[in-house]
Amino acid sequence: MRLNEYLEIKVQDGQKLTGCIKCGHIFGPASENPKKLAKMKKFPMKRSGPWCNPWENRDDMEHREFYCPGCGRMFAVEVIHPDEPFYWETNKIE
Amino acid sequence: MENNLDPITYEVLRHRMWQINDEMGSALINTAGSEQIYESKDLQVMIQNAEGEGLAVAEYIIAHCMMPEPIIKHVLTNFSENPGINDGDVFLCNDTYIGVVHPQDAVMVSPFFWEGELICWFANMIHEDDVGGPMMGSWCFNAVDFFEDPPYFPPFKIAEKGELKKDMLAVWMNNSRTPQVLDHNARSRMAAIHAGRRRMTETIEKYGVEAVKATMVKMKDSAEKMFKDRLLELPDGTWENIGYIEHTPDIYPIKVKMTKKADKLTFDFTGTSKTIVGGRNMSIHGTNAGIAMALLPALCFDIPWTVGGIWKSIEVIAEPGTLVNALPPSPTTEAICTTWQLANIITGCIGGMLANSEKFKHRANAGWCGLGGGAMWMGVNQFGMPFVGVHSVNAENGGGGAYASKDGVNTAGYVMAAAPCCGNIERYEAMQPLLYLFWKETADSGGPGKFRGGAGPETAYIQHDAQSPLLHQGSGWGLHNPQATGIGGGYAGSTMRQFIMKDMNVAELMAKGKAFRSFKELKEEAERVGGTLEVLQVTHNLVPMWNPTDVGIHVGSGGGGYGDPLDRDTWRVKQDVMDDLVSPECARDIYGVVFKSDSFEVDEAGTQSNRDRIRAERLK
Repeated sequence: MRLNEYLEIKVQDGQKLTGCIKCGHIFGPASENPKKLAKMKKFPMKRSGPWCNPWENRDDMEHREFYCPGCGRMFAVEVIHPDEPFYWETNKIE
Repeated sequence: MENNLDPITYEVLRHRMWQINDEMGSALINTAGSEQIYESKDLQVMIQNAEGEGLAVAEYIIAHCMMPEPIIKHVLTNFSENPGINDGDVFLCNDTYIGVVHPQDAVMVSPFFWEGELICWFANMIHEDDVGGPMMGSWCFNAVDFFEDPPYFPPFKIAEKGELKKDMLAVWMNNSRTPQVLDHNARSRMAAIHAGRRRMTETIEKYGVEAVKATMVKMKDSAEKMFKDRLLELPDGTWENIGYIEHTPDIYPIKVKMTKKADKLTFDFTGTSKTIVGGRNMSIHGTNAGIAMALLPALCFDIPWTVGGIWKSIEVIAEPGTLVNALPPSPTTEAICTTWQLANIITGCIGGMLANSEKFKHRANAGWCGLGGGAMWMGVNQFGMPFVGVHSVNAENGGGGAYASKDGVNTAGYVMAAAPCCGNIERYEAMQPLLYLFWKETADSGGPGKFRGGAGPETAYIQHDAQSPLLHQGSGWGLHNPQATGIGGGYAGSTMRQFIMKDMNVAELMAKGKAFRSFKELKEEAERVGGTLEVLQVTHNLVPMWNPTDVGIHVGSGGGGYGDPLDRDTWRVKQDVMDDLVSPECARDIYGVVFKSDSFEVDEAGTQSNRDRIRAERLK
């Protein structure tokens, strides 16, 4: 089942797994937020774009990028308070 | 009767209801007294059934489709006996805690009777320029409680037998800085109601009251079924999103967990910030409005927006005392800012659900612009009249969110407000003592992605022929953090910015034939003449004595991007650079696209190499 542009749910040996549509990399169990299983980098919020807050880099906001560990595709971006855990923006499979 | 209503008659009458509603909107716009209405279309018109549920809403500010029902229910519950509800009555209400989003968005509701039976209600909303309170435009940013806001009027009878009551109209106008505008707009609202009454009367005379009543029942039932069917087409599951409300200099989270199960959709706001000191608190009516703003365009693109039926599938969980369910006496004059942001947060959740659907994945949509710069001016205009200029013209042309199948629309405005638009600058200049220097789309404002967010605008203006010093005040959202979040790996759109450039000689240079075409050119001129740039906060109180040598500047926000920018077609990036929507630096560093030296020709091999390098960097 497709989750979004880059992620899908696969069933292997009866287990639901999150995988990359582009390269086939298996992130891990579908019950985990894929962001937790991804390569993640944090940046000052100016990273959100050259025109994003040109005069201000707030300490209470950060820009997070989430990449497929297999092919490096970026499948999610958060601009968020540093204390916030990753939110689950793809379908939270119960 | 409903079962006996033949399909042809139903279709004719159903469309007649929408047409009557549209005609009410035209009547209101064509007679309105403020640029906010006849130019920017910050209004709404609606037809509600006898119980107050929404049957028809026009394409203006969608949020307001949720306002009439609680107000009508309040009237029915509290005023049926005293003062009574009669044909031709009109009730006016601007109480946040009874039904409106914020007190400036006053609503009129008017019952329509046929041979003594209540058939339906006509309703309209206008964002009034000023309804009183300590701050101009009634934007009371720093109010501690609603006693520091403009008056909140519960529904009161402002008209009887189709005629405005002079005493109650005077009460309504009494607190405003622009009473003449409230007076004028009250008559425009009445014109809209009269148009609705006239057409409904004609319709009943032609088709009979039972057919009209049956049509209203079927409209609601049909919309309810169509929306349930739409939900059944979509995957079950849960999607989360977080956004931030800004009250300078602080930010406060709104958290939502959207759960779709069979034909039910639940929005759970647990974890959202408590209410704050300041005007951005939102009653539950504002929260319902924000949900409707996101829901109707995203999921009901082919379903009539009969919210009385659609809302049967919606559940909202909002803890009392939080930003999404404020209680009296929390101040609320800026609640609309929170409502818009809530709509963007919901759009993110719905985008996740659509991306999860094979059938509707192409409709997955990133966040749309924050407020492009809600500047307000107050003073005496070129005609010697006091004015408060609330410039939605700046607000309603930020960039649209990118879709999974196409770029966001440049200077699109809001998906949540289809008809409101960037007004005609010439009309603004004709009515307000301002001269615009330029109006253009801004490079790198659209959130990068496989599909780029729409570009936002930038504009600048100076005083022109003002009969008093102008006071400047700002309101907006999306300055401290981007409101137009990306999805599926897309970046957020740019934030909005507001500046005043002081000690400039722009008017003098323009008189000599010089034209300024961008913020960049103004900055270069400021460096030449020693002008200074003052950054204005998202909510700034009055900036007194806005001098004739000052230049006001607003740079609007762009839409969010969709997908990894490194997956964007190189020809699209090339076109963006040629159109000055993306800078060469952004093309190289974010999109990974390399051009051959001194040309717009893409170096495909160099681009592939650069993109490989960026992906490798990501994995280090």
